[in-house]
Amino acid sequence: MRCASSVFILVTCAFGCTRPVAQAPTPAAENASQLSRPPATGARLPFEAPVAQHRVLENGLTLSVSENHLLPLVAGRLLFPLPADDVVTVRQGALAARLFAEGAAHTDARAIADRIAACGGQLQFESDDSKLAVQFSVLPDSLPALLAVVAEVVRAPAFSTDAVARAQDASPLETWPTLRARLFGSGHATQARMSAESLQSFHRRIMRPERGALVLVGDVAFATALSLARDAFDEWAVPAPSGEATDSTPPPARRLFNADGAQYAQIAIGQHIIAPSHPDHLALVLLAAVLRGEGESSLSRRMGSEALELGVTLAPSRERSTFMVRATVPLAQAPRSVAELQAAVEALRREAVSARELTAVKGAFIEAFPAYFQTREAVARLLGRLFLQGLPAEHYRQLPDRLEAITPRDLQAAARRHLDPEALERVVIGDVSVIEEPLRALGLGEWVVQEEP
Amino acid sequence: MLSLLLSCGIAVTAEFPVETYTLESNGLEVILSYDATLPIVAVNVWYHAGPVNEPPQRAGITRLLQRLMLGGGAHSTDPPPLARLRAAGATDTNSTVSLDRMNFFATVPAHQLELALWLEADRMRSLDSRLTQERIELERWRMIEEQRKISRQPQVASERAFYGALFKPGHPYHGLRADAVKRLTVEQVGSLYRRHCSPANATLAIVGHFDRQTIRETVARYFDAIPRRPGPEPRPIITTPLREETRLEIEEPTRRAYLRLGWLTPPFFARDDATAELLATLLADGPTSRLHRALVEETELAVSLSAQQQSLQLASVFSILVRGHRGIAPEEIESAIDRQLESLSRTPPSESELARAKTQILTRLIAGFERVGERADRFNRYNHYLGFPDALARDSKRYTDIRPEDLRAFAERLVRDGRVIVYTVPTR
Repeated sequence: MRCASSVFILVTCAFGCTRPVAQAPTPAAENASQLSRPPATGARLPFEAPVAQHRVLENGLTLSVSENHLLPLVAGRLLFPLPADDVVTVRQGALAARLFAEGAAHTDARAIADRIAACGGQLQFESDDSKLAVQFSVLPDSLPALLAVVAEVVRAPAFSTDAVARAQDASPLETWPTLRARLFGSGHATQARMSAESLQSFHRRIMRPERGALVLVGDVAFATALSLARDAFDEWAVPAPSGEATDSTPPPARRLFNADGAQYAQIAIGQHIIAPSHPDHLALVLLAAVLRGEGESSLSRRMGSEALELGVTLAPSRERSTFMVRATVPLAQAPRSVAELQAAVEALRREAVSARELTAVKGAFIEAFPAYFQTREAVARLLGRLFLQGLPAEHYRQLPDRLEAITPRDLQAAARRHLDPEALERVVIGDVSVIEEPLRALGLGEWVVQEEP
Repeated sequence: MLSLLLSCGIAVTAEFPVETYTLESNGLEVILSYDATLPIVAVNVWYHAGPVNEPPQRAGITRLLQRLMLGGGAHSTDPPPLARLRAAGATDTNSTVSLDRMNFFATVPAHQLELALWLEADRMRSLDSRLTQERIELERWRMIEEQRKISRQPQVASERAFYGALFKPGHPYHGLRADAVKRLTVEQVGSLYRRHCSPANATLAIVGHFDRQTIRETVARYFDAIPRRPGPEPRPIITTPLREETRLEIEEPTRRAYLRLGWLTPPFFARDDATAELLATLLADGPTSRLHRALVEETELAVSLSAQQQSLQLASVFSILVRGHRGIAPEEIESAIDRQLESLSRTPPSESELARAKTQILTRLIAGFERVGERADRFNRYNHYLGFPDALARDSKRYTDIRPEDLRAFAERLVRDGRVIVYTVPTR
């Protein structure tokens, strides 16, 4: 861009003619000009996402290891997938996560806490509607001791009657599931307290070695990790569960939850879609991102200023993902907003999104992509997702190129193939006395009214 | 090369080459640390100016300058720096003000390094040329509004009273109020900006993936043209030791009583600064710590508690904060804490208890070097307090060198020294 700061001056040459001569800019003038506007962007550097080595132990537990020896630190996660639309199991997972700190069958909570503190690391238990996870971060020397603690707690947790009651008293579990669970969830006994027996049943069904994965990232060689994993988990065997399946009755497609006197209504519409391993899944992820937008999006334009909150979620899990659009609006606007959300989903099939919107969404993601891999904990989380979602080891290496290649037409084609306005499930939470009639007048089919607890 | 000797006795190394130099044209310090693990780079600028440098009649000016500078320099206001950086794929982007300094930072894709440098250079070079009275007043009003909101949060009044008692009036750490800033003219703000944010009073750290052959030239392209400006006027400050115990009661609309105890302790990196941090870990880090066991588990006096050594430039603050159970008198909690401190002042902790606390601290220390942004900030912190950035080995050694007797002696000092105690009396 140097020519922009060149200075043309008139000089009289020896022949008496006059012609313009380009004079090299002075360094000061050149610099002042440079500093007044942003620099040109250079070329993006290549990036290869880390991959893991895998091994399945004799008892079926998957081990994934990604070595990184720059710092003496190891992050890890032990993961068990949860069935996202089984509300009861998800709540059991949340309670189980609280109870791990209560110790194991043969070791009390204080001894467990002592052993974790001696490792100097952190051990956390977390759950959401897709997984139950134990995560940790330690110096390599402390890894064997920490894995031994994890194995002891996970293999034989102390789900005693007292501990289960105490954990629920300390802070009650959400009595009703999330909006997503209400939209898709089966299982209706959600407001009941959990018993120790139900937790033990959960443990037998969900926390089984062949359902789990141990992900280790950082300063540990694969051979060492394998040996440590075998020491900690090889003897872990769980008898097959005996017909302890939970209620899987599909919910009605259109439900209206009564919330007497509420001034606002929560609305969700959505459907189950393809699994993350399906070739079209990435296009649907981008479609959700475009619909959600940054600031103004097609959805926010459609909903105008009436929505207090707008969201688009594509929640992946190994068998199938869920696509959901949600809004919180003033109560009187609820019926019209249901129609608008429905129309927004239908429009995704009818019209291609603009290239500008798609480029902005892809660009922000691709540019920031390498930064997602900065910490061992983040890499363990990302590699864990591959297990939870059934994705190939090379997924992250291929992702930027796959994203680059997707066009607005691909998004529209994926929407046509996988979003079905007729199959959309709908949930509205609001004062039924105000909104039931206008909702029925929309002609979207029969609504089933349920009471909030 | 940074070497660490962990408490377990095994030496480990982490290779983070660090290089420093100063721009001749204006005195800007530059720290470079190359790491090509990922194609990202952190740009982190520390201005060695904070409330500690504020003239008494200009209290709050650092936060006002921060707000104005977040809007960008003369050429980078529209869109403002944060929006430009986010659009370019930046992560970990922000600015903070502590008692001792102000910083601006971003982690960007490696090919966007020049954008981040340009934004920081513009901010350092030309803020004063776009100052208007309206902008100054707007940001001052926003500060005051923000402080009003913060003032309504629990524990803020107690914390202010706490610092107010630890440090005498006129000391820069005495007041935490950012809304104390007076109405200032364009010329007054411009003059303070030119001094406090002069290149000679700043350090630029670049950590991550950059072109090692051309990086100095690139830095010079954006920062060399910034004129040399004098730094802040030196301000002689005397920190008066606490000779006695000061007790305060503050009423707050909370349901539970809080108890806050504090002592003045040695500054960052001085002898016993690390001892204080180890003591805080041993007393209150996690469910196995001494105070947790004594106050939460065994006697159920407290719901939660914490202890920390806040390491600062002039004098550090060692504090213990306890949230009591309903109906528990704060005097009862205070006695229980005193018993623990007196016990430690008589009998040193065991080697294994100390080793555990050391491992906890060293794990956190090492984890703080994972992100290039945190690493850049750490290099700047070492440089600010020690005068050189390559200090991880020295930092870790000051913990590993501590013996049980050092903790006993430090606990004895806490028992003997003057302190501040603030009871938060619940009014709900």
